[in-house]
Parts: sequence; structure tokens; C-alpha cells
Amino acid sequence: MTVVRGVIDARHRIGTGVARTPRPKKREGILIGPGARMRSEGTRTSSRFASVAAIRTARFSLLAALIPLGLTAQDSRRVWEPKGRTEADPAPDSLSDHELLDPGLAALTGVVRDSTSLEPIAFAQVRVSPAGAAGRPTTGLTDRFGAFAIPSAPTGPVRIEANALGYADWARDYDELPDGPIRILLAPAPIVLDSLGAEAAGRAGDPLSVSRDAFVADLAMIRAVPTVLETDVLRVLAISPSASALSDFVSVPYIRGGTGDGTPVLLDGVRLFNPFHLGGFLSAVNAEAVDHASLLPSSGAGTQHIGSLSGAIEIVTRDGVRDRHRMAGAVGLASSRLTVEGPLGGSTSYLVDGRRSYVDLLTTGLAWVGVIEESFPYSFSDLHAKVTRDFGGFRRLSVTGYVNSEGISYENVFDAGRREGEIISRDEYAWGNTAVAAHFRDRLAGAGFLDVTIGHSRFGNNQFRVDDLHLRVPDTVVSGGGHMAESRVDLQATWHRSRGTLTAGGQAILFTGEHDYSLTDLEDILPLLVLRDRQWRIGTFANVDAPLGRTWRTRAGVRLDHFAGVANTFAPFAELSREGAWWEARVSVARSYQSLASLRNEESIRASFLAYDLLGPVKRAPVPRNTTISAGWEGSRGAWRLRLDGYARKMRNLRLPPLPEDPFEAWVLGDPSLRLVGGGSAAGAEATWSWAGGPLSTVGSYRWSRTTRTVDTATYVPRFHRDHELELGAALERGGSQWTARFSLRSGQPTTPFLAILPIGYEDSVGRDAEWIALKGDYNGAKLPRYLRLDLGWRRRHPGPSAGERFVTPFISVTNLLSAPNVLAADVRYNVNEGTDPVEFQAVAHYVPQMPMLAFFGVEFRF
Amino acid sequence: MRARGLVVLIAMGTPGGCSYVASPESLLDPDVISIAIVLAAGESQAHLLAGSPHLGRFDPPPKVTAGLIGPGWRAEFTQETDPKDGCGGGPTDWPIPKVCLKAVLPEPIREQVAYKLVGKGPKGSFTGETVVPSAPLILEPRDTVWLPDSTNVARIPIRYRAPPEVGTMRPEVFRTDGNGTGTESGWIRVLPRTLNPEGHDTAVWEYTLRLQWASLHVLGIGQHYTHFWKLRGGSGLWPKTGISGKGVYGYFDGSARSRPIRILLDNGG
Repeated sequence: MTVVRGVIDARHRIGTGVARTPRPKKREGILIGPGARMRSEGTRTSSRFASVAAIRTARFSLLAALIPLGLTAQDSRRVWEPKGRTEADPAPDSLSDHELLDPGLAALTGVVRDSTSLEPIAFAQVRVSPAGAAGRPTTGLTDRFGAFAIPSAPTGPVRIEANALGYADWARDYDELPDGPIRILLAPAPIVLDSLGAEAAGRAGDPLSVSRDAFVADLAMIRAVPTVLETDVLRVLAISPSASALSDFVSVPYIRGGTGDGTPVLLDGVRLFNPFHLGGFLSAVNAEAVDHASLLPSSGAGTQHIGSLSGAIEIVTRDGVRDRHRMAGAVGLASSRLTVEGPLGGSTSYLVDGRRSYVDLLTTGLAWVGVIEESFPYSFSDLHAKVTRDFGGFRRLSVTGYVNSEGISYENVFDAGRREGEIISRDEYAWGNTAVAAHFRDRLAGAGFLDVTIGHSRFGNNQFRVDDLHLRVPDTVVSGGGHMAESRVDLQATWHRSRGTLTAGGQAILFTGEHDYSLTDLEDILPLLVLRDRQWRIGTFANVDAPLGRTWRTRAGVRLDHFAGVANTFAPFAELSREGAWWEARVSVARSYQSLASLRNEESIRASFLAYDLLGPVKRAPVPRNTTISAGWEGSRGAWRLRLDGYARKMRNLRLPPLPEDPFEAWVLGDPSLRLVGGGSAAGAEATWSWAGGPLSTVGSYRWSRTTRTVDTATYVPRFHRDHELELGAALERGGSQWTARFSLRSGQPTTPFLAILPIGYEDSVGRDAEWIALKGDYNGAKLPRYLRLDLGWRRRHPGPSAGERFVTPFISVTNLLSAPNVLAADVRYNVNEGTDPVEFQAVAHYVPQMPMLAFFGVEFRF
Repeated sequence: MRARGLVVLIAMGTPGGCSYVASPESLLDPDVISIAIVLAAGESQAHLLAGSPHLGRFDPPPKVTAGLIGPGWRAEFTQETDPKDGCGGGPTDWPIPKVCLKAVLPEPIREQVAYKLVGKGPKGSFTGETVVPSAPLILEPRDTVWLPDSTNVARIPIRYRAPPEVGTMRPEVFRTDGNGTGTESGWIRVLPRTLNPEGHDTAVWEYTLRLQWASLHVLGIGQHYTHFWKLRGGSGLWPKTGISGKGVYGYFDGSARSRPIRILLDNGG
């Protein structure tokens, strides 16, 4: 929704702070700056070369292939000695940035932060150019930790500039290129032209502008989408053409014909299982704590370190401010949330946020006063905390803890007679997530970063029901539960070199799943199931991002995985791109594997209402595999930005349930032993655009695609697929108010057509009767009516005692404003009118509706 | 002011939104018809039961014209009869608007002979083709069964054999009148409704009126009818049922009866 013109270059990517290497022709004009001193190579290269040699001899076979690309020390025929330190970071790394670089070039590294809160600023653009000289500046983009590295910066007197949306431009002249990491502090400043500019400290951005691999939504953009019950991180991502909402009742989107098990949701680097509440209606991550969320549709560049079938959703939380203690929150219809953040000493910050629903309390109160018959004893809560220590320079440590819980608990009592009020049965259902992640970053030799993440995540589920409590011997009719957990260590090193960027890393993941529902009889959702399994995944990966001549560029890499006891896999990817003055085109091919398979039956109608999943490792080879070929083009002219993508993918060795005879009666989660080895395919064309002008900003997307699944001998279109999807979002700033709108027009989901509803007469023991059969055509061979929805939102910020710092923001939104009768499934039933003689039967179609027109409101505040 | 604008927008949008989607009933084509026809070997007439399953019970029945083509002849279904009269044993209790058409044939239906059906319904023409199966053979009882007069229920073990083209076997009872013609009896019922395909079963004989004698047959019906009935209780892909045509569903099949077993009442005399 948030669109900003010309602030951030479209051809950069997040995650590793990639710098853009100038073309050789341009490089000549900015080569040796005044004051630079050259010395011959060899005197200080041993340690550097040793480290490079270590890389060369490392485990990755890819490196041998990278040598011809010019990424080894031998290519650095000149090294540069730093002339002196200028305004370097207070605790710079002792290593020189200037080694291993081409002549006339040096590395500029640093961190960009908010001058008030000292929070790192992601996606800020840093430019360095020779002072007073004409020439194309060299640019870099900060990663999610605010760090940037420009390995090919000019030496001598330079001018360094930085800008980021929501901040005043920053510029400074240096006599010499700073040697160590510099710290750039940007002052918050509202941007009048942007509809979200009022969020002075926000880092609102165009979802297309900050990454060529991702659709990125930050907090400001999340707020610029009409609220559905609550401000929701995952719902916003469904605007991306790569994402498709399973239904109005499920917030987590599916990516390019894949399903949720192939698209992990990561919170600060650790996977969250089932990160939602209310069956999937709300995401379980408090938007207040989110810095940004990225939807990565590819399985190649950008998601190689994740190793999934269908990209990933990465949620990055904020560090917490370091200037003073602050509090923010919201009171909504279903829940309230509160965030507290502030400094812990000079270089440490904390952020704690929590949310608690009060559906149970509200309905209990309404039942008590007689407005409703009985309460709905459901509640959820989540709590997230993050502590970040900044050691100076790039070195930082953050620890994230997260817990959420959800459950229903109720008792049945006699409602009349002598035993009135006595408890008959008790039901308790509880489930939730816990996760902890620690991330450490340090500087590597030259313009390099080292990232280490250690994490653990666990989803637990328990069900319990006791019947006949009024009798001497109660009967336990339901007792089941289990958990799935993931422990992981991720290590990633990134070197920014003049000839390109090299990334290498390793990963160890232990997945455990223990589910015992052998005494459970949760009709329609869970079968009787016992599953106990664990699996190690050890992976290594490496990739390179390097220019090939003046306008061409390549990214390539490989990932090796060992799925313990199952298979070893080799997953390469390669991308070739060409850059113009205002556009870029690329073509890529990628392969990926994963061993976790879902127990969900996506063909079950109930799956549209319940997003929860249980995962289990594939126990026998082959493991699920994805191969994608894609091509894309993107460019920006004036206020417009446009991205076009096409893709075709093959998914093999998927574990799929047999086709259900009746999707209305099918389990949502099924026994994994009944799964069959199947496959799938998807192909599509996507367009995303954004535009900003005056107080109005818009973002839109259109997607056409075709998706199939093959199981046993049947090939069908999965129920979650739609051929066409058009999404439009707009935000208008007017008179202190912000109006937001979201419009969706989608073709209908597939459904199995009803050829005829036929009665069959038969004679049983009591006489003749009629039984009906629904005669169906090809499975999912028809389409439901098309989907149309318009949501509208309004919010207005009322300044508090200190304008800009404290405010109260009431908001209201209406979903499905046009009251369109959208549907997600169709069935045929027959009506029986027993008031007639003879009894009248009438076969009628029955639709399962999507979300009706609903209004939501609440108040957000910040102090 | 803004709130008023919102209300106006909602008021304008609501009716527009309701009309964009097709009527839910469009999923069910009202012109779809169901056809049931089973040719009975030895009979010189055929009945065709046509219904409109997607219409209300009191809607008018479908307009159907059809003809039966045998070896060297064609007979039209020109006579309309009351479905309550049985319509050749078809499922006349279908609670839908329906019509029963009868064709008088130039010769009796013969076993192992192919017949064709041609017709036209609301959505166009339809065709059918079937071969009347050979009759099942009753192995036991051999001829006559005596039932006790002291009870209204009796069990009769029967053994039989059917040719492979028979898909369904049903016990049929005829009370024999004085002139020797048989009609299916409403006073006598035999269970189970379909016989065990393994070749042996026990017929439970229920009778509510004193009778002198009756006959028991095993009726063999072809595979088309059987395919259709296998759809009962579930839904699935459309099987081969002998009829094809746009918007026409049902079955076209043949049947043949075994030799009769005489059932006599043992009144002690």
C-alpha cells in the first residue's frame, strides 16, 4: 500500500546488505581518488589469503566452480592501505576493509540507525561518490540489521549520503573514505507525499522497492490495509501476486501453487509452527513488534538458506528503542495488545509485547446479563520479548522469546431437575507455540558478515474430555495430544567483494514430532493417529552474486542436504540478469528439497476454515522436490514501479492423501501412512505495480496461474487454486485521516460439478422410499462463482501531549463492503417439506459462504 | 460527515454486490432428466420412466419422446400411463415430476438380443444400447416348496447360477390368479431385496394373506442397472449405464427371469 517514489533502488535485495557494483566503464571515472596510497600486493595478504583459502577448501563443491568467476584472492592484484580513520564507529573492527579489492576501490561498511531510538534501519540506501567529481555513485542497501557494505567505494575525498523513507536525508563529506564501519544516524521526518508519512518513525516502503526477491511489508504498510478484526501481518502479504489466500478465514497465504508445509513462517530466524489463532483467522504475531515481513516466493536466490519447497515468509521483529521507555498498544473487538520497549543500559534494548483475547470474558458477561444464551469459552494470548545488545560496529546479539497459547475449556451441566447444575462432562482443548531464537552477528575479514542463529520452536496440542462425571466411574472419552518441535543452528557468512558477493553457510535442524491421538475422537478434524518420529537435516550452501560485464549479472549457488536415514540431495540454482538504466530482467532456475510433509488434506472443505497443520518427516526416499524456472522484469519510471514475473514449477515426490469421495466429510488431518507419493505442477504470470502521487498511494497485483496435483492416477486442480487474482490497495491521506481500501477480484475456486441429483427408489424392510445420489463430473472440473470483495478502513491519529511522540488512533474497517455473496464450496442437498402431502422434495444447491460484511473497530495508542 | 459518507457507500454497494454472482441454483440444471428403462425378456411391451430430478415435485413432468429399436423393428413410446401402476417395475416412487411411457412391441423381448433406444429430451437427443441378459438358473429348490400355514414368515434356502452379463439378482414373487397370469404381489414380500452374487442365499418369505399358491423367480438384471445402483449411498464418476446424451442420466438395461419355483401353503390337508 505504501509507495514512495525514487527513494530506494529497485535492484537491491535485503538480507545481506548487497552493494551494487559499478560497471567497469563507470569504474574508470571513480578509480583512484586523491590521497590514496597504493602498495604492492603480498605484504599483508597472508592472513586474508588464508581466510580465502579456507573458503576455497571448504566443504562446498560450488567454490571450485566459483573460481573462474573471479572470486578468489588471486584476482586482487592490488590492495589498499587505509589512510586513516574518520568518523568511524566507536568500536570498529580492527580489520581493514581495503584489502582484497580492485585498484582504486575500497570497502565502505557501516550501520544505519534511527537517531532517536537507535534502532537499525533496514532498506536504507547509502551512496558514496568522489567529492566534487562527476560520476555515478556507488550504492548499497542496508539489511535487516541496518548494516551495509559497499566493497567498491571510491577512495580519497568522498561524499556519503544516506536516505530512507520516513527520515531526513543525510550527507557528509570525508577527506578519505572511512576505514572502519561508520554509523549513520538518520533523523525521523514525516514525508508529506506519502500517505503513511505521519508515521514519523516508521520505515514505510514500497513492497517492491527493497528486494528483487521478495514482497516486503513493513508495519506502516500493514497498517495501511483495512483491518480484519486486527492488524495482521500475514493477511497483508496476500496482496502479493505470488500469494493466494486459502479462504477469508485463513490468514496465511499459499505460494505459487504450493501449500503451507512448503512455506515455513520464520520469526527472527526460527520456524513458527501454526503461527495463528482462531483456526487461522488471525496471525499470532503482534503487528506492533514487527519491523517487516517478507514473502519470498522463490526456492532459489533469497531462500536458499531456508531450503523449502515453496519459498518462505520471514517475519523480522524490531529491536526496541534505545532512547527512552515507550509503550504502545491497541484495544480491539476481540483482544487487546500492549508493547513496551526501551533501553537497558547504553547499548542494550528490550521489546516486550503481549496480546490477550477476551472472547471468553465478553461472552461470559453477555451470557450473565442474558444477551446470549451461553458463553464461548475460547481465548488466546501471545507474548513476545526481544533483547538486543549492540556491541558496536556490526557486532550484535539479539535473543527473541515467543509463546502463544489458545484453548477452549467448558463444562456441561444438568440444566433441570434434581441434579440441576451438576457437572456432566468437562472438555479441555489447549494448543500453542513456544519459540526462542538467538542471533549473533559479527564482522568478517574485509566487508564480510557472520550471522549465527540458534533457535528452538515447539507447537503443542492437548485434548481432554471426561464424561459421566456425575457417575461413580467417569469415562474419559478423549485424551490425546502431542507436539512437533524444531531445534536448529544456522550459520551464514557473507563476503562483499568488488567482484561480487559470496555467501556460504551451514544448517543443522532436528525435527521431532510426537502425536498420540489414539483415544481421540475429534470428529471431522483428526483421525485416530499415533505418530512418533524425528529427523536430522544437515545442510550446507553457498552462492555468489557477481557482475558479468557491463550490464549482465549472475547469481548462482548450490545447497547440499543430508536428510538422516532418508536421502542426500543436491539443489543448485542459477540466475542471469541484465540491468538497464531503469529496468532489470532476469531468468533463473532453481531446485529445492524438503523432508517435512503435511498431514493436511487440502481437499477437505473444513481445511478452508482450519489452517492448523501437523508435520511429519518423510521416512523413505525420495524426498519432496521442487524445480522452478522463472523469468522476470521490473522497472520504475516516475511514480510507477512495475514487476512482471513468469514461472513454471514441478513438484515431485509430494506426500498427498487420496482424493476424498466427499470433500465435505473428509478429515482435515490424516494418517501419514495413508499418504501416496504424488506430484504437482504450477505455472503462472504475475504483475505487481505501485504508484504514489500526492496524498494517494496504491499497490496492485494480478496473477494468472495453473496448478495441478497428481495422486494415484488422478490429476486434478487443487481446491485452493484460483486461475485469476486481482488485488488492489490504496491509501489516501486527507485532513489528518487515512482512508484505506483493498479490492479483490478472483476467479472461483474449483469444485466438482453436479451433473445431476438422481433419486433411486428402493424398497427396504418398511417399504419403498427414495434415496438420492449426487452424480458428479470430473473432480474439481468446474469453478465456483467468482470472488469479489471490497474492504474499507479509516483511521485518524490524534496527537497526544507531545505531538509526534504520543498519539491515539481510532480505527474502523468494514470487510466485504459490497456484501458480495462469495463462496468457498458448493454442495447439493434436497429440501424436504413435510408439511405437504405427499411430502415435497426439492434438490437445491448449497453454498458455503465466505466472509460477510462485517465491521471492526478499535483504538491504537503510543506513549 | 465521514460516517455519513460511509453509510451511503454501504447502501450503494450492497445491492450491487448481491447481483454480481450467478444464482446458486444454476449449479443444478433444471432441464436435466432421469431415465429408467429395463426391458423384460418375454414381454411384448416396454416402459420408460422419465423424471425431472432438479424440479419440484409439483412441477410439470418432462417432455420426452423415445423409440425402442429391436431386430428389424422400431416401436415408439407413445402411450402415457400412470407411474403409480408400476411402470414396468421402475422406481416410481421418485419424488419428482415424472412421466411413464409405454411402447407396444411387435414381438416379445428376447434374451441375448441387442436393443437400442433413441429419444429426445429437454436438452436434446439421447441414445441407449443394451443386450438383454440370459436368465439365471435356479438350482435349488428344484420345483415346489411347501410353507407352513402356522406362521407368516418362512425361510427358503435357494441356490442359483447366473451368466456373467447379469449384474444384479433379485427374488421376485408372483401370486398366481385363476387365469394363470402373474402379478407382483403386494401381499407377499421376499427379502433380501438383492440376492447374494455368490450363488446362494436365504429368501425370507413374508405373507400377510392366506394364499393357495405363488411362484418365486430369480430375476437377473444386466450390468447397466447394476452400475447405476452402485452409485447409491455415495457419489462418484458417472459409470456406464447404457444411456448417453446431454443432460440425460439413468439406465437402459434388460432383465430375464429364471424358471419359477412353486410355493404352496401346507395347511395340513
